[in-house]
Amino acid sequence: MPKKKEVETPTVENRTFEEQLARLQEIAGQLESGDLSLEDSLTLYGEGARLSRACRVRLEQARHTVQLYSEEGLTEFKPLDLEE
Amino acid sequence: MSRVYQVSELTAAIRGLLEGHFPFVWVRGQIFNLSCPSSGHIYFSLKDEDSSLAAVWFKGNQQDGESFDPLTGEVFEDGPRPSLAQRLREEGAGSAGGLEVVCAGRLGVYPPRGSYQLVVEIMQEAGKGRLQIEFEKLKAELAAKGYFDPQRKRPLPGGRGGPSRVAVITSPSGAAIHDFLRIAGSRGLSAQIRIYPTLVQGEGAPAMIATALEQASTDGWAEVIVLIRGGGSLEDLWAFNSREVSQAVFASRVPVLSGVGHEVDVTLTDMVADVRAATPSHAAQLLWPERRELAQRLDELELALSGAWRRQLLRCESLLTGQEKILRLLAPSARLERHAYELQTAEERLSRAIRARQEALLRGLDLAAAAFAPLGERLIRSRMDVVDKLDLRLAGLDPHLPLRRGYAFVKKADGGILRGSGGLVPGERLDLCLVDGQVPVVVIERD
Repeated sequence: MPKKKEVETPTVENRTFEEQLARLQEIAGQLESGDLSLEDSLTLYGEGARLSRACRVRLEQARHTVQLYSEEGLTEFKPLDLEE
Repeated sequence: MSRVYQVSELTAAIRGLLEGHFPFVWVRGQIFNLSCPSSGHIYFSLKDEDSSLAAVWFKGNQQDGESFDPLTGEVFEDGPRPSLAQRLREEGAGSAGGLEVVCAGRLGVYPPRGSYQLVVEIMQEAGKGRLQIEFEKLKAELAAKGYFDPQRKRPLPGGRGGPSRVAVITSPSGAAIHDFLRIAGSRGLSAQIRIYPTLVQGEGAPAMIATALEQASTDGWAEVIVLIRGGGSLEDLWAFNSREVSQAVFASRVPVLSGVGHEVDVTLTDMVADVRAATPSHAAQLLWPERRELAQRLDELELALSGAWRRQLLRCESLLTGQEKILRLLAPSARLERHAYELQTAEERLSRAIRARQEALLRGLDLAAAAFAPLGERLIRSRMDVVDKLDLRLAGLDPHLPLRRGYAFVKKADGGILRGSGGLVPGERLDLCLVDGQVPVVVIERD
Protein backbone atom coordinates (compact mmCIF):
# COMPACT_ATOMS: atom_id res chain seq x y z
CA MET A 1 0.00 0.00 0.00
CA PRO A 2 2.67 2.59 0.87
CA LYS A 3 4.27 1.84 -2.49
CA LYS A 4 1.08 2.88 -4.23
CA LYS A 5 1.12 6.15 -2.30
CA GLU A 6 4.55 6.89 -3.70
CA VAL A 7 3.32 6.46 -7.23
CA GLU A 8 0.36 8.69 -6.62
CA THR A 9 2.15 11.67 -5.17
CA PRO A 10 4.79 12.86 -7.61
CA THR A 11 4.61 16.63 -7.76
CA VAL A 12 1.49 17.71 -9.54
CA GLU A 13 3.40 19.99 -11.88
CA ASN A 14 5.61 17.21 -13.24
CA ARG A 15 2.84 15.55 -15.16
CA THR A 16 1.57 16.29 -18.60
CA PHE A 17 -1.82 17.89 -18.91
CA GLU A 18 -3.11 14.60 -20.23
CA GLU A 19 -1.83 12.73 -17.18
CA GLN A 20 -3.31 15.34 -14.88
CA LEU A 21 -6.74 14.99 -16.48
CA ALA A 22 -6.50 11.20 -16.31
CA ARG A 23 -5.56 11.35 -12.62
CA LEU A 24 -8.43 13.76 -11.97
CA GLN A 25 -10.83 11.33 -13.56
CA GLU A 26 -9.37 8.46 -11.57
CA ILE A 27 -9.79 10.40 -8.31
CA ALA A 28 -13.42 11.23 -9.10
CA GLY A 29 -14.02 7.55 -9.86
CA GLN A 30 -12.42 6.40 -6.59
CA LEU A 31 -14.45 8.89 -4.57
CA GLU A 32 -17.59 7.80 -6.36
CA SER A 33 -16.96 4.12 -5.58
CA GLY A 34 -17.63 4.87 -1.90
CA ASP A 35 -15.15 2.25 -0.69
CA LEU A 36 -12.89 4.79 0.96
CA SER A 37 -12.69 5.99 4.53
CA LEU A 38 -13.55 9.61 5.18
CA GLU A 39 -9.90 10.43 5.77
CA ASP A 40 -8.71 8.85 2.55
CA SER A 41 -11.49 10.60 0.69
CA LEU A 42 -10.43 13.93 2.12
CA THR A 43 -6.82 13.35 1.06
CA LEU A 44 -7.94 12.34 -2.41
CA TYR A 45 -10.27 15.28 -2.75
CA GLY A 46 -7.44 17.61 -1.73
CA GLU A 47 -5.22 16.14 -4.43
CA GLY A 48 -8.00 16.48 -6.99
CA ALA A 49 -8.65 20.10 -6.09
CA ARG A 50 -4.92 20.91 -6.39
CA LEU A 51 -4.76 19.11 -9.74
CA SER A 52 -7.74 20.90 -11.18
CA ARG A 53 -6.34 24.28 -10.08
CA ALA A 54 -3.03 23.46 -11.71
CA CYS A 55 -4.79 22.45 -14.94
CA ARG A 56 -6.85 25.64 -14.93
CA VAL A 57 -3.75 27.79 -14.54
CA ARG A 58 -2.02 25.84 -17.25
CA LEU A 59 -4.92 26.42 -19.65
CA GLU A 60 -5.21 30.08 -18.85
CA GLN A 61 -1.52 30.71 -19.31
CA ALA A 62 -1.13 28.56 -22.41
CA ARG A 63 0.87 30.33 -25.13
CA HIS A 64 2.87 28.77 -27.91
CA THR A 65 6.43 29.96 -28.27
CA VAL A 66 7.49 30.24 -31.89
CA GLN A 67 11.15 30.23 -32.89
CA LEU A 68 12.94 30.37 -36.19
CA TYR A 69 15.64 27.77 -36.75
CA SER A 70 18.88 28.59 -38.50
CA GLU A 71 22.42 27.27 -38.63
CA GLU A 72 23.43 29.99 -36.17
CA GLY A 73 20.77 29.04 -33.68
CA LEU A 74 17.23 29.83 -32.70
CA THR A 75 15.77 33.30 -32.91
CA GLU A 76 12.36 34.54 -31.93
CA PHE A 77 9.93 34.36 -34.80
CA LYS A 78 8.08 37.62 -35.23
CA PRO A 79 4.69 37.36 -36.90
CA LEU A 80 5.62 40.73 -38.45
CA ASP A 81 7.80 38.71 -40.79
CA LEU A 82 4.57 37.83 -42.54
CA GLU A 83 3.96 41.37 -43.67
CA GLU A 84 7.21 41.56 -45.62
CA MET B 1 -40.35 14.44 -60.65
CA SER B 2 -39.50 15.22 -57.06
CA ARG B 3 -38.83 18.97 -57.32
CA VAL B 4 -38.43 21.85 -59.69
CA TYR B 5 -34.95 23.43 -59.70
CA GLN B 6 -34.03 26.98 -60.43
CA VAL B 7 -31.49 27.03 -63.23
CA SER B 8 -28.78 28.42 -60.97
CA GLU B 9 -29.59 25.87 -58.28
CA LEU B 10 -29.18 23.00 -60.69
CA THR B 11 -26.02 24.51 -62.13
CA ALA B 12 -24.58 24.90 -58.64
CA ALA B 13 -25.44 21.27 -57.84
CA ILE B 14 -23.84 20.06 -61.06
CA ARG B 15 -20.82 22.21 -60.37
CA GLY B 16 -20.44 20.74 -56.89
CA LEU B 17 -20.69 17.22 -58.26
CA LEU B 18 -18.35 17.74 -61.18
CA GLU B 19 -15.67 19.74 -59.39
CA GLY B 20 -15.83 17.48 -56.37
CA HIS B 21 -15.53 14.33 -58.43
CA PHE B 22 -12.75 15.50 -60.80
CA PRO B 23 -10.60 17.81 -58.69
CA PHE B 24 -7.62 17.16 -60.89
CA VAL B 25 -7.38 15.27 -64.18
CA TRP B 26 -5.01 14.46 -66.96
CA VAL B 27 -6.57 14.60 -70.43
CA ARG B 28 -5.11 13.74 -73.80
CA GLY B 29 -6.52 15.19 -77.02
CA GLN B 30 -5.98 17.33 -80.11
CA ILE B 31 -6.17 21.12 -80.02
CA PHE B 32 -9.01 22.67 -82.06
CA ASN B 33 -10.68 26.06 -82.20
CA LEU B 34 -7.56 27.72 -80.78
CA SER B 35 -8.04 31.36 -79.86
CA CYS B 36 -5.41 33.60 -78.28
CA PRO B 37 -6.92 37.04 -77.46
CA SER B 38 -4.82 39.91 -76.18
CA SER B 39 -5.74 39.12 -72.58
CA GLY B 40 -3.09 36.38 -72.79
CA HIS B 41 -5.53 33.60 -71.89
CA ILE B 42 -5.66 30.75 -74.38
CA TYR B 43 -8.99 29.18 -75.31
CA PHE B 44 -9.35 25.96 -77.28
CA SER B 45 -11.10 22.59 -77.45
CA LEU B 46 -9.56 19.21 -76.90
CA LYS B 47 -10.89 16.61 -79.31
CA ASP B 48 -10.59 12.97 -80.10
CA GLU B 49 -12.56 10.92 -82.63
CA ASP B 50 -15.89 11.15 -80.83
CA SER B 51 -15.84 13.97 -78.32
CA SER B 52 -14.72 17.46 -77.63
CA LEU B 53 -13.91 19.27 -74.38
CA ALA B 54 -13.77 23.05 -73.94
CA ALA B 55 -10.56 24.19 -72.29
CA VAL B 56 -9.00 27.40 -71.07
CA TRP B 57 -5.37 28.07 -70.18
CA PHE B 58 -5.28 31.21 -68.08
CA LYS B 59 -2.32 33.48 -68.38
CA GLY B 60 -1.40 33.00 -64.73
CA ASN B 61 -0.93 29.27 -65.29
CA GLN B 62 1.31 29.64 -68.35
CA GLN B 63 5.09 29.65 -68.15
CA ASP B 64 7.23 31.63 -70.49
CA GLY B 65 9.97 29.11 -70.44
CA GLU B 66 10.95 26.14 -68.32
CA SER B 67 14.44 26.12 -66.90
CA PHE B 68 13.89 23.06 -64.69
CA ASP B 69 11.79 19.98 -64.66
CA PRO B 70 8.76 20.86 -62.50
CA LEU B 71 8.40 17.23 -61.45
CA THR B 72 11.92 16.44 -60.28
CA GLY B 73 13.39 19.91 -59.92
CA GLU B 74 16.15 18.84 -62.30
CA VAL B 75 17.64 21.85 -64.06
CA PHE B 76 17.82 21.61 -67.83
CA GLU B 77 21.51 21.72 -68.77
CA ASP B 78 20.79 23.10 -72.23
CA GLY B 79 19.01 26.21 -70.90
CA PRO B 80 15.34 27.11 -70.62
CA ARG B 81 12.97 25.37 -72.97
CA PRO B 82 10.27 27.42 -74.66
CA SER B 83 6.89 26.71 -73.18
CA LEU B 84 4.01 25.39 -75.19
CA ALA B 85 1.98 28.53 -74.39
CA GLN B 86 4.54 30.65 -76.22
CA ARG B 87 4.45 28.34 -79.21
CA LEU B 88 0.63 28.34 -79.33
CA ARG B 89 0.52 32.10 -79.25
CA GLU B 90 3.20 32.51 -81.87
CA GLU B 91 2.19 29.84 -84.31
CA GLY B 92 -1.57 30.41 -83.88
CA ALA B 93 -4.31 28.21 -85.15
CA GLY B 94 -2.48 27.56 -88.38
CA SER B 95 0.15 25.10 -87.31
CA ALA B 96 -0.87 24.42 -83.72
CA GLY B 97 -4.35 23.27 -84.71
CA GLY B 98 -4.52 19.52 -84.46
CA LEU B 99 -1.52 19.35 -82.16
CA GLU B 100 -1.84 16.39 -79.82
CA VAL B 101 -1.29 17.38 -76.17
CA VAL B 102 -1.68 16.13 -72.66
CA CYS B 103 -3.25 18.64 -70.29
CA ALA B 104 -3.38 18.58 -66.50
CA GLY B 105 -5.92 20.66 -64.64
CA ARG B 106 -9.28 20.88 -62.95
CA LEU B 107 -12.75 20.57 -64.40
CA GLY B 108 -14.85 23.66 -63.85
CA VAL B 109 -18.41 24.68 -64.63
CA TYR B 110 -18.97 28.04 -66.32
CA PRO B 111 -22.46 28.97 -65.07
CA PRO B 112 -23.32 31.80 -67.56
CA ARG B 113 -23.17 29.34 -70.44
CA GLY B 114 -24.06 26.23 -68.53
CA SER B 115 -20.96 24.59 -69.93
CA TYR B 116 -18.11 22.78 -68.33
CA GLN B 117 -14.51 23.26 -69.24
CA LEU B 118 -11.04 22.10 -68.39
CA VAL B 119 -8.99 24.75 -66.58
CA VAL B 120 -5.51 23.83 -67.75
CA GLU B 121 -2.55 24.20 -65.45
CA ILE B 122 0.06 22.23 -67.31
CA MET B 123 0.23 21.33 -70.98
CA GLN B 124 2.70 19.20 -72.78
CA GLU B 125 2.94 17.75 -76.21
CA ALA B 126 1.53 14.28 -76.12
CA GLY B 127 4.57 13.01 -77.90
CA LYS B 128 6.51 13.65 -74.75
CA GLY B 129 3.87 13.52 -71.98
CA ARG B 130 6.93 14.04 -69.83
CA LEU B 131 5.36 15.45 -66.69
CA GLN B 132 2.56 12.95 -66.54
CA ILE B 133 4.77 10.02 -67.33
CA GLU B 134 7.35 11.08 -64.74
CA PHE B 135 4.68 11.61 -62.11
CA GLU B 136 3.06 8.25 -62.73
CA LYS B 137 6.44 6.53 -62.91
CA LEU B 138 7.63 8.00 -59.64
CA LYS B 139 4.30 7.24 -58.01
CA ALA B 140 4.50 3.63 -59.13
CA GLU B 141 8.09 3.35 -57.99
CA LEU B 142 7.39 4.81 -54.54
CA ALA B 143 4.32 2.61 -54.21
CA ALA B 144 6.43 -0.45 -55.04
CA LYS B 145 8.94 0.58 -52.38
CA GLY B 146 6.12 0.71 -49.85
CA TYR B 147 6.23 4.48 -49.39
CA PHE B 148 2.45 4.68 -49.25
CA ASP B 149 1.81 1.61 -47.10
CA PRO B 150 -0.89 2.31 -44.53
CA GLN B 151 0.91 0.01 -42.05
CA ARG B 152 3.88 2.36 -41.76
CA LYS B 153 1.75 5.41 -40.97
CA ARG B 154 2.41 6.65 -37.45
CA PRO B 155 -0.24 8.43 -35.40
CA LEU B 156 0.16 12.05 -34.33
CA PRO B 157 1.78 12.34 -30.89
CA GLY B 158 0.72 14.21 -27.79
CA GLY B 159 -2.53 12.70 -26.57
CA ARG B 160 -5.38 14.90 -25.45
CA GLY B 161 -3.45 18.14 -25.07
CA GLY B 162 -1.58 17.78 -28.36
CA PRO B 163 2.19 17.72 -28.95
CA SER B 164 4.42 20.19 -27.12
CA ARG B 165 7.41 20.26 -29.52
CA VAL B 166 6.54 20.84 -33.16
CA ALA B 167 8.87 21.46 -36.11
CA VAL B 168 7.29 23.34 -38.99
CA ILE B 169 8.93 23.21 -42.40
CA THR B 170 7.66 25.99 -44.61
CA SER B 171 8.37 29.44 -45.96
CA PRO B 172 8.62 31.88 -43.02
CA SER B 173 6.94 34.58 -45.09
CA GLY B 174 4.18 32.53 -46.69
CA ALA B 175 0.45 32.43 -46.02
CA ALA B 176 0.82 28.85 -44.80
CA ILE B 177 2.72 29.64 -41.58
CA HIS B 178 0.41 32.58 -40.97
CA ASP B 179 -2.71 30.41 -41.23
CA PHE B 180 -1.10 27.65 -39.21
CA LEU B 181 -0.09 29.94 -36.30
CA ARG B 182 -3.43 31.74 -36.31
CA ILE B 183 -5.32 28.49 -35.89
CA ALA B 184 -2.75 27.11 -33.43
CA GLY B 185 -3.15 30.24 -31.26
CA SER B 186 -6.41 29.09 -29.71
CA ARG B 187 -5.54 25.42 -29.52
CA GLY B 188 -3.48 23.09 -27.35
CA LEU B 189 -1.38 24.07 -24.35
CA SER B 190 1.97 25.86 -24.26
CA ALA B 191 3.76 24.18 -27.15
CA GLN B 192 7.10 25.11 -28.63
CA ILE B 193 6.98 25.60 -32.37
CA ARG B 194 10.25 25.66 -34.28
CA ILE B 195 10.12 26.92 -37.85
CA TYR B 196 12.66 25.47 -40.29
CA PRO B 197 12.60 28.06 -43.08
CA THR B 198 12.74 26.85 -46.65
CA LEU B 199 11.74 27.73 -50.17
CA VAL B 200 8.52 25.97 -51.10
CA GLN B 201 8.56 26.49 -54.84
CA GLY B 202 11.08 27.04 -57.57
CA GLU B 203 14.34 25.41 -58.53
CA GLY B 204 15.98 24.91 -55.18
CA ALA B 205 12.83 24.07 -53.28
CA PRO B 206 12.92 20.24 -53.35
CA ALA B 207 16.52 20.07 -52.09
CA MET B 208 15.91 22.68 -49.39
CA ILE B 209 12.74 21.02 -48.18
CA ALA B 210 14.52 17.66 -48.05
CA THR B 211 17.43 19.16 -46.09
CA ALA B 212 15.09 20.82 -43.59
CA LEU B 213 13.27 17.50 -43.13
CA GLU B 214 16.53 15.68 -42.45
CA GLN B 215 17.62 18.41 -40.05
CA ALA B 216 14.38 18.34 -38.07
CA SER B 217 14.40 14.54 -38.03
CA THR B 218 18.03 14.20 -36.86
CA ASP B 219 17.72 17.01 -34.29
CA GLY B 220 15.51 14.62 -32.38
CA TRP B 221 13.87 17.56 -30.66
CA ALA B 222 10.50 17.60 -32.34
CA GLU B 223 7.69 15.15 -31.61
CA VAL B 224 6.18 15.79 -35.01
CA ILE B 225 7.24 17.50 -38.25
CA VAL B 226 4.69 19.64 -40.04
CA LEU B 227 5.28 20.25 -43.75
CA ILE B 228 3.00 22.97 -45.06
CA ARG B 229 2.54 25.17 -48.09
CA GLY B 230 -0.33 27.43 -49.13
CA GLY B 231 -2.45 26.95 -52.23
CA GLY B 232 -1.07 27.54 -55.67
CA SER B 233 -1.04 26.23 -59.17
CA LEU B 234 -0.04 22.67 -59.89
CA GLU B 235 3.38 24.01 -60.94
CA ASP B 236 3.76 25.85 -57.64
CA LEU B 237 3.13 22.67 -55.69
CA TRP B 238 5.41 20.57 -57.87
CA ALA B 239 8.27 20.48 -55.37
CA PHE B 240 6.00 18.30 -53.24
CA ASN B 241 5.84 15.78 -56.07
CA SER B 242 9.61 15.46 -56.18
CA ARG B 243 11.59 12.36 -55.37
CA GLU B 244 13.85 14.21 -52.94
CA VAL B 245 11.04 15.45 -50.73
CA SER B 246 9.18 12.12 -50.89
CA GLN B 247 12.33 10.29 -49.81
CA ALA B 248 13.04 12.73 -46.97
CA VAL B 249 9.48 12.35 -45.69
CA PHE B 250 9.78 8.59 -45.91
CA ALA B 251 13.09 8.60 -44.02
CA SER B 252 11.92 10.87 -41.21
CA ARG B 253 12.27 9.34 -37.76
CA VAL B 254 9.50 11.60 -36.54
CA PRO B 255 5.91 11.41 -37.77
CA VAL B 256 5.31 13.84 -40.62
CA LEU B 257 2.06 15.78 -41.02
CA SER B 258 1.67 17.32 -44.45
CA GLY B 259 -0.70 20.09 -45.46
CA VAL B 260 -0.01 21.20 -49.00
CA GLY B 261 -2.19 23.52 -51.09
CA HIS B 262 -5.95 23.31 -51.06
CA GLU B 263 -8.17 20.39 -50.20
CA VAL B 264 -8.20 19.04 -53.75
CA ASP B 265 -4.43 19.00 -54.11
CA VAL B 266 -2.90 15.64 -53.34
CA THR B 267 0.85 15.45 -53.89
CA LEU B 268 3.23 12.53 -53.58
CA THR B 269 4.43 14.10 -50.32
CA ASP B 270 0.89 13.92 -48.97
CA MET B 271 0.74 10.25 -49.87
CA VAL B 272 4.05 9.45 -48.16
CA ALA B 273 3.35 11.53 -45.04
CA ASP B 274 2.09 9.78 -41.91
CA VAL B 275 -0.94 12.01 -41.74
CA ARG B 276 -2.32 14.25 -44.46
CA ALA B 277 -4.05 17.53 -43.65
CA ALA B 278 -6.10 19.21 -46.35
CA THR B 279 -4.61 22.65 -45.71
CA PRO B 280 -2.09 24.32 -43.34
CA SER B 281 -4.97 25.45 -41.09
CA HIS B 282 -6.27 21.93 -41.02
CA ALA B 283 -2.82 20.73 -39.95
CA ALA B 284 -3.03 22.92 -36.84
CA GLN B 285 -6.51 21.57 -36.15
CA LEU B 286 -5.30 18.00 -36.40
CA LEU B 287 -2.40 18.63 -34.02
CA TRP B 288 -4.13 20.34 -31.12
CA PRO B 289 -7.63 20.32 -29.68
CA GLU B 290 -9.31 23.66 -29.09
CA ARG B 291 -8.37 25.19 -25.76
CA ARG B 292 -12.08 25.80 -25.12
CA GLU B 293 -12.65 22.07 -25.47
CA LEU B 294 -9.91 21.32 -22.94
CA ALA B 295 -11.45 23.87 -20.56
CA GLN B 296 -14.82 22.20 -20.96
CA ARG B 297 -13.28 18.81 -20.26
CA LEU B 298 -11.67 20.25 -17.14
CA ASP B 299 -15.01 21.76 -16.06
CA GLU B 300 -16.66 18.38 -16.43
CA LEU B 301 -13.97 16.68 -14.37
CA GLU B 302 -14.21 19.36 -11.67
CA LEU B 303 -17.95 18.85 -11.48
CA ALA B 304 -17.48 15.09 -11.29
CA LEU B 305 -14.93 15.56 -8.51
CA SER B 306 -17.07 17.87 -6.37
CA GLY B 307 -20.15 15.73 -7.02
CA ALA B 308 -18.28 12.58 -5.98
CA TRP B 309 -16.99 14.33 -2.86
CA ARG B 310 -20.47 15.55 -1.88
CA ARG B 311 -21.94 12.10 -2.36
CA GLN B 312 -19.12 10.55 -0.37
CA LEU B 313 -19.86 12.96 2.50
CA LEU B 314 -23.56 12.08 2.34
CA ARG B 315 -22.67 8.39 2.41
CA CYS B 316 -20.49 8.88 5.49
CA GLU B 317 -23.24 10.91 7.17
CA SER B 318 -25.93 8.32 6.58
CA LEU B 319 -23.55 5.62 7.78
CA LEU B 320 -23.09 7.60 11.01
CA THR B 321 -26.83 8.10 11.51
CA GLY B 322 -27.36 4.40 10.96
CA GLN B 323 -24.76 3.49 13.58
CA GLU B 324 -26.27 5.93 16.05
CA LYS B 325 -29.63 4.33 15.59
CA ILE B 326 -28.21 0.87 16.25
CA LEU B 327 -26.38 2.15 19.33
CA ARG B 328 -29.53 3.67 20.72
CA LEU B 329 -31.36 0.39 20.25
CA LEU B 330 -28.65 -1.49 22.11
CA ALA B 331 -28.56 0.81 25.20
CA PRO B 332 -29.75 -0.97 28.51
CA SER B 333 -32.34 1.68 29.40
CA ALA B 334 -33.76 1.36 25.92
CA ARG B 335 -33.86 -2.37 26.44
CA LEU B 336 -35.83 -2.04 29.70
CA GLU B 337 -38.20 0.36 28.07
CA ARG B 338 -38.63 -1.97 25.21
CA HIS B 339 -39.29 -4.95 27.51
CA ALA B 340 -41.80 -2.92 29.56
CA TYR B 341 -43.54 -1.96 26.47
CA GLU B 342 -43.55 -5.54 25.23
CA LEU B 343 -44.94 -6.69 28.59
CA GLN B 344 -47.68 -4.13 28.50
CA THR B 345 -48.72 -5.05 25.04
CA ALA B 346 -48.65 -8.73 25.95
CA GLU B 347 -50.92 -8.10 28.89
CA GLU B 348 -53.26 -6.11 26.82
CA ARG B 349 -53.37 -8.79 24.25
CA LEU B 350 -54.03 -11.43 26.89
CA SER B 351 -56.96 -9.61 28.50
CA ARG B 352 -58.33 -8.80 25.11
CA ALA B 353 -58.16 -12.47 24.24
CA ILE B 354 -59.86 -13.56 27.45
CA ARG B 355 -62.61 -11.03 27.02
CA ALA B 356 -63.15 -12.11 23.51
CA ARG B 357 -63.36 -15.75 24.56
CA GLN B 358 -65.94 -15.03 27.27
CA GLU B 359 -68.04 -13.09 24.91
CA ALA B 360 -67.90 -15.87 22.41
CA LEU B 361 -69.05 -18.43 25.01
CA LEU B 362 -71.91 -16.28 26.19
CA ARG B 363 -72.99 -15.69 22.68
CA GLY B 364 -72.98 -19.46 22.11
CA LEU B 365 -75.09 -20.03 25.22
CA ASP B 366 -77.63 -17.44 24.24
CA LEU B 367 -77.92 -19.00 20.88
CA ALA B 368 -78.44 -22.44 22.38
CA ALA B 369 -81.08 -21.12 24.79
CA ALA B 370 -82.87 -19.35 22.02
CA ALA B 371 -82.87 -22.57 20.06
CA PHE B 372 -84.13 -24.61 23.05
CA ALA B 373 -87.06 -22.42 24.24
CA PRO B 374 -89.58 -23.10 21.47
CA LEU B 375 -88.65 -26.76 21.54
CA GLY B 376 -89.68 -27.11 25.24
CA GLU B 377 -92.95 -25.29 24.73
CA ARG B 378 -93.89 -27.52 21.85
CA LEU B 379 -93.13 -30.62 23.91
CA ILE B 380 -95.28 -29.47 26.80
CA ARG B 381 -98.17 -28.55 24.55
CA SER B 382 -98.18 -31.92 22.82
CA ARG B 383 -98.17 -33.72 26.22
CA MET B 384 -101.05 -31.63 27.44
CA ASP B 385 -102.99 -32.51 24.32
CA VAL B 386 -102.58 -36.16 25.16
CA VAL B 387 -103.79 -35.57 28.71
CA ASP B 388 -106.83 -33.65 27.43
CA LYS B 389 -107.75 -36.46 25.08
CA LEU B 390 -107.38 -39.05 27.84
CA ASP B 391 -109.53 -36.86 30.04
CA LEU B 392 -112.29 -36.82 27.48
CA ARG B 393 -112.11 -40.54 27.00
CA LEU B 394 -112.11 -41.02 30.76
CA ALA B 395 -115.13 -38.76 31.12
CA GLY B 396 -117.02 -40.90 28.56
CA LEU B 397 -116.34 -43.96 30.66
CA ASP B 398 -117.77 -42.49 33.93
CA PRO B 399 -120.54 -44.99 35.06
CA HIS B 400 -122.55 -42.30 36.72
CA LEU B 401 -123.09 -40.29 33.53
CA PRO B 402 -125.95 -42.47 32.11
CA LEU B 403 -127.76 -42.13 35.48
CA ARG B 404 -128.40 -38.47 34.64
CA ARG B 405 -130.27 -39.58 31.56
CA GLY B 406 -132.56 -41.81 33.67
CA TYR B 407 -130.60 -45.06 33.74
CA ALA B 408 -130.06 -46.95 37.02
CA PHE B 409 -127.88 -49.84 38.10
CA VAL B 410 -128.30 -52.46 40.76
CA LYS B 411 -125.71 -53.33 43.31
CA LYS B 412 -125.67 -56.68 45.04
CA ALA B 413 -125.36 -57.01 48.77
CA ASP B 414 -121.72 -57.74 48.43
CA GLY B 415 -121.25 -54.42 46.64
CA GLY B 416 -120.85 -55.96 43.15
CA ILE B 417 -122.86 -54.75 40.22
CA LEU B 418 -125.77 -56.91 39.10
CA ARG B 419 -125.19 -57.85 35.48
CA GLY B 420 -128.03 -60.35 34.90
CA SER B 421 -130.98 -62.06 36.54
CA GLY B 422 -129.32 -65.42 36.88
CA GLY B 423 -128.64 -66.44 40.43
CA LEU B 424 -131.21 -64.14 41.90
CA VAL B 425 -133.41 -65.64 44.52
CA PRO B 426 -136.67 -64.22 45.86
CA GLY B 427 -136.28 -62.25 49.01
CA GLU B 428 -132.77 -61.21 48.10
CA ARG B 429 -131.96 -57.68 49.04
CA LEU B 430 -130.48 -55.37 46.48
CA ASP B 431 -129.71 -51.67 46.19
CA LEU B 432 -131.09 -49.68 43.27
CA CYS B 433 -128.70 -46.87 42.47
CA LEU B 434 -130.32 -43.73 40.96
CA VAL B 435 -128.69 -40.49 40.08
CA ASP B 436 -129.52 -38.86 43.34
CA GLY B 437 -129.16 -41.88 45.71
CA GLN B 438 -129.79 -45.53 46.54
CA VAL B 439 -133.10 -47.20 47.13
CA PRO B 440 -133.17 -50.67 48.83
CA VAL B 441 -135.25 -53.19 46.92
CA VAL B 442 -136.28 -56.85 47.47
CA VAL B 443 -136.55 -59.51 44.81
CA ILE B 444 -140.17 -60.77 44.99
CA GLU B 445 -140.12 -63.44 42.41
CA ARG B 446 -138.38 -64.86 39.42
CA ASP B 447 -139.72 -65.77 35.99
